Amino acid sequence: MEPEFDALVVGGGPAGQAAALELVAGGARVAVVDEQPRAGGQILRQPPREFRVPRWLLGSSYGALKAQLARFEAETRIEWLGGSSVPGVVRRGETWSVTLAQVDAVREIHAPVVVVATGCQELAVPMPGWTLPGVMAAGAVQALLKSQQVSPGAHLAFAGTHPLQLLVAAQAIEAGLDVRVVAFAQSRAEFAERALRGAGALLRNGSLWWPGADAFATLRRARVPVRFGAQPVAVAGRTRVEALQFRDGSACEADAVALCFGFVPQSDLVRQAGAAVHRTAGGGFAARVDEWQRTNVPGLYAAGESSGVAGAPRAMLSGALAGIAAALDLQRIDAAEASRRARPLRTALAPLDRFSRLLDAIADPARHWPTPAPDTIVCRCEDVTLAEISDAIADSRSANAVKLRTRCGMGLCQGRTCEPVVLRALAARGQTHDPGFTARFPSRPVRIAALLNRSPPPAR
Amino acid sequence: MSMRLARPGLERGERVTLELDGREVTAHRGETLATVVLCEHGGTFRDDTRGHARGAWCGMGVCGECSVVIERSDGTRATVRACLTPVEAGLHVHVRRESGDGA
Repeated sequence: MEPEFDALVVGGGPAGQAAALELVAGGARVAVVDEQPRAGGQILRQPPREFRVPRWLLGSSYGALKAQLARFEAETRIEWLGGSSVPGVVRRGETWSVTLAQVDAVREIHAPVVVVATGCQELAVPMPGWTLPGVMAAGAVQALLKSQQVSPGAHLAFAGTHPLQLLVAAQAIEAGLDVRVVAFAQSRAEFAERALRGAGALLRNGSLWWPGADAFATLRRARVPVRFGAQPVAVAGRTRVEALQFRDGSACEADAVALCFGFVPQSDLVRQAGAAVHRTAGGGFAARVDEWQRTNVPGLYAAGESSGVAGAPRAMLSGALAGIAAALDLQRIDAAEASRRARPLRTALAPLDRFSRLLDAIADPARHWPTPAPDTIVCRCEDVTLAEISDAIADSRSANAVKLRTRCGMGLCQGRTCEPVVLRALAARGQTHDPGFTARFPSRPVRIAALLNRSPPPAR
Repeated sequence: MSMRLARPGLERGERVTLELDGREVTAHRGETLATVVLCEHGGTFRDDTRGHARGAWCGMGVCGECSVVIERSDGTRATVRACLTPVEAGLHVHVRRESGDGA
């Protein structure tokens, strides 16, 4: 079948936009698919078109990202395929066949190049009560504030190890909400010591850490306590969040809790395509790429956080590199032109890498995971508890075996939420190289009626 | 409790009426079904196999915890991720009940 496009980019965030812009500049026919109706990714999760939101994301750290988004949205040669999921990619000969799914329809599109720019996802943090209404990933709370203009609660408690929670808490205050606490599980000494060790990187990257300092100031003005050494152990509540409890016996009353222990790449499609990955902190997998963001599978590129979580500015650069490389491999530009375009990007990468290594060190959750009770749900889709998973690990010692025995990872999310937890549990017993659940179609839920390409039967 | 923000100058889409578990609720064009469940159902997206109230987690289509059942005017039903599904006038939305013999 004649491919409709030269390149299909999966993900309309900073990396996907950058890749598409470079490809189209090289004269390639490009489509970008995203589950959201509008481009932006999670970092610039746009309000619905039907909304008007004055002063949307004014912070200086959003400036360059918003400028690129404006260029992307103005580029009429890029085919925008918003509102579709990509449950699978498969290579047939020289061409990728990519499945696009909506609620009632599935179709295949074809291209010799696929750029996976699917970003990252927040780490699941099982603890008693974490499944209650009102408990969400901090990134989820942030997305609701940015896009839907809604909050899961009026009184929010934040807990975790990742400094992102400072930014989200500050955005919640600016949205008129009451933030009760921002709690870091690591001690103040640990935080400061790691920050100091990286002081050079901090000083050279003023524009990167300034949003954090800004957020601190906002929290101070609002008299929000920022606690250190405050390890969350449980969320209390009967039918929804009532309080967040800490190891020292203290509790913070709240009607919503945001947990923020860090991120793992969304690399499902990369793994499904059989490309090489490497383990990341927290129990994830990042695509293994060369200096041009090429995976080891021909025609498959991974850009942005699917190849390592390192922040939006870096994602933008790696997306551009992937786009240039793909344009080169499609013979749209020559090697000299590719190097010329890549040079300033590579210069900009080094300081961003130093900064992201520093942030990783500061945010490291390794010694701060909550220790859930045995009856805590780990696999949210299939209601599988920690005790069931621990029993299965004691016997079988691999993620796939745990899955077969407990149904952990067999639900709607296909293991994306619980896999890092299972991998951490395996690692705690010495199994540090488990390849995780075998990646399979579909990496996003698809209705069988849609797959069969026919109307679903009417209800009884 | 979950709430729509009141930012100065913020304008939402026009009002639409839909049904949540048999109850008429109003929402705004552009909102997702997740926003409706957050604001009109205390953020409870389902009752789980133990009968416990369950919330959404990731807010970006990864975890599926916000999945709800929609019933369209032609009688067809579908399980959809609420955080990715925009409201439609006249839509019937059901939260999932896994503890008993419900939907």
